[in-house]
Amino acid sequence: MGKTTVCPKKGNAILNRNISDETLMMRYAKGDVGAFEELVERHRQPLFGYLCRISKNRELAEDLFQEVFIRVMNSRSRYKKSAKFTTWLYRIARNACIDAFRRESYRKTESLSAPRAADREMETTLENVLPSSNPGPDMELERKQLSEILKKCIERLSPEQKEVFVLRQYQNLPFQEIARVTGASESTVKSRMRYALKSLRTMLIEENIVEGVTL
Amino acid sequence: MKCDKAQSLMLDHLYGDLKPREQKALLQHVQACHTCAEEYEAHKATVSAFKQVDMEEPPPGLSRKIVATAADRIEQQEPLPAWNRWAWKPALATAAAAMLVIVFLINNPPAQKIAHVAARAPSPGDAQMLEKAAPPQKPHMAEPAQMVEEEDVSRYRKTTEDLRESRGSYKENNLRFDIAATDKVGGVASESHMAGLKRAKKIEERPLPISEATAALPVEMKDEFSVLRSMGWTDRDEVEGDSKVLPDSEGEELVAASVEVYSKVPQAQESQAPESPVVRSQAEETGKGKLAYLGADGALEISQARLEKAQNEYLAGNAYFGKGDFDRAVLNYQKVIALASGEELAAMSEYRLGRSYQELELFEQAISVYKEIIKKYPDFPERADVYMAVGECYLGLGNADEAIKNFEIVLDQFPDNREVAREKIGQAKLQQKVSGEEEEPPPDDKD
Repeated sequence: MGKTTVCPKKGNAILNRNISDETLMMRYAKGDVGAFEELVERHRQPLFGYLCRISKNRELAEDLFQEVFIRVMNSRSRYKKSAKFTTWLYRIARNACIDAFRRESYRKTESLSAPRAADREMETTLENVLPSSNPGPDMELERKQLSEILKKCIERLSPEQKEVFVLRQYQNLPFQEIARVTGASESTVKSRMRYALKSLRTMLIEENIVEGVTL
Repeated sequence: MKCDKAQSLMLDHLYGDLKPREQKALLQHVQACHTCAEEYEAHKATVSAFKQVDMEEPPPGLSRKIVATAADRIEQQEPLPAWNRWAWKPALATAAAAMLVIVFLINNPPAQKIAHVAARAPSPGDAQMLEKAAPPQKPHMAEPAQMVEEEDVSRYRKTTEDLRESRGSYKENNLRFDIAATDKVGGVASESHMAGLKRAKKIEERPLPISEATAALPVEMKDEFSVLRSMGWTDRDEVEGDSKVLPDSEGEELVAASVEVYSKVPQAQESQAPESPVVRSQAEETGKGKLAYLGADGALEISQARLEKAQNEYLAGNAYFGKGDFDRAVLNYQKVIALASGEELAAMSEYRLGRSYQELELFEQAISVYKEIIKKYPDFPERADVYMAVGECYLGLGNADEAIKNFEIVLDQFPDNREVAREKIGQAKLQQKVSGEEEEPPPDDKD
């Protein structure tokens, strides 16, 4: 056996991106909090984004964010080496969302039935933005407003389509993995994705964000 | 290619998941089919537009709070996962006894926060390492909770600093204690004890770190378990030495003297640690007779002692492994393999040795260890994991071909792991693509 380096690795300062999520999770399962910290760091933003999209409510997303990681903590000893971490994490996230919706403790009354009105409002605001001498803030504002419109479009998707679209587009999970997270077959997942993209395109055309003919 | 196939493939292609051959086939279809071409362009524009979504940032305090909660839970001694699903045969009872002794040591002296196994060369997270070294967890585990004073995540890091600060008083207390123990035995006995130790088979660089107290002891007593022995814990192998090492009657006398020495110490101990049934029973045993251990069953007893030692090494290795200190874990596991070759324990240690090398990114070493397991232990229950690990190591070395070979073995022979194997093959092929190697024909589509 070859000689190994003398300096011990610090359990609480894992910055090596070559260490896979799965390895980190196994380490955390054995008690390495540093590994857990690294996992949180890696996944906090995409997970939070996912929760915001699915829950449509930032406050609820924050609660769910904690809930997801608490469930991760509670299940750490049950994590299997062979399981892909993101699949496991997003399955937990999905279940946490479903449970939250069932509880309905954060149900808001904002309706999705009048998105048109809201979007029209957005358009009006856009139109009313007066060009100033400094292009920076305007562009920034436009960018933010565009982002908001796009988010509203995503919200208008059916839950099944939204889930698939968000996981593919923002969590960058392959379709096979999405199938495992959602419990559907890969062909169903792809079918939902296809319809999601078609619906979104229709919305984009209506919002004049893209030009073209609806498919 | 039919349109429905193209519609499916184009979704993969949008996100770069298509292999070159499939890309080529899709392109051919799209060039010929106007409908699909339109659909593809439309999807592409949609995906591109939705890249402009600004994802929300989670509030920073949230992550900190979560990590702090995780650190709290670890410190509160959540039950450890069962790593080894094997039955440890009769050695389980001995392992349990060894664990109880370790727990006893951690709880004694009570004033101290850390066990006698405090690190010689301090490394972070020692508290966790110690806690890990003593499963199952006792509810009143030393005072690790007292180390945690802050709310934020840095409390975890602070732990090791507290640990270092506490060493001064710990050292003092233990020195006093040890002196008291050696005083009890008397001058002559202690000399023969020293001599016995010199003659007895010693474990050389045992990586299990020794306490400051041990470090402060005279050189002759510095083998790692000397402190433990002075506490009354009789490691039979250490006490009596190997029968091969001490064949003569003088050796036997030394052994006997040592045995008597240790039989006295626990009585001084009892007032300090009444809750140590394992130690007491061992003390009773030693009092029975000087040749209690070197009887006709001498060989068996020694083998048992070796197994105990191996188990201790294994525990220590696991503790280091859990902490991410793979260099030390390697040394422990190597010891286990040397001590208990052929046993299940050794097989598990081989696996963990391989994992340790892998974590250290010493992929060639890891691969050779894993291949040894495959050869030597055909009944190894985690065989699929071993092949997977070999594949991962090859990936680490950039050898996608060999990686794929191993993942395919898993795919063929281990149905439970099929999904992960497929994923890994996908990853490996991606690596091949990146490095520009020749593509294999695409597998059958599942749609």
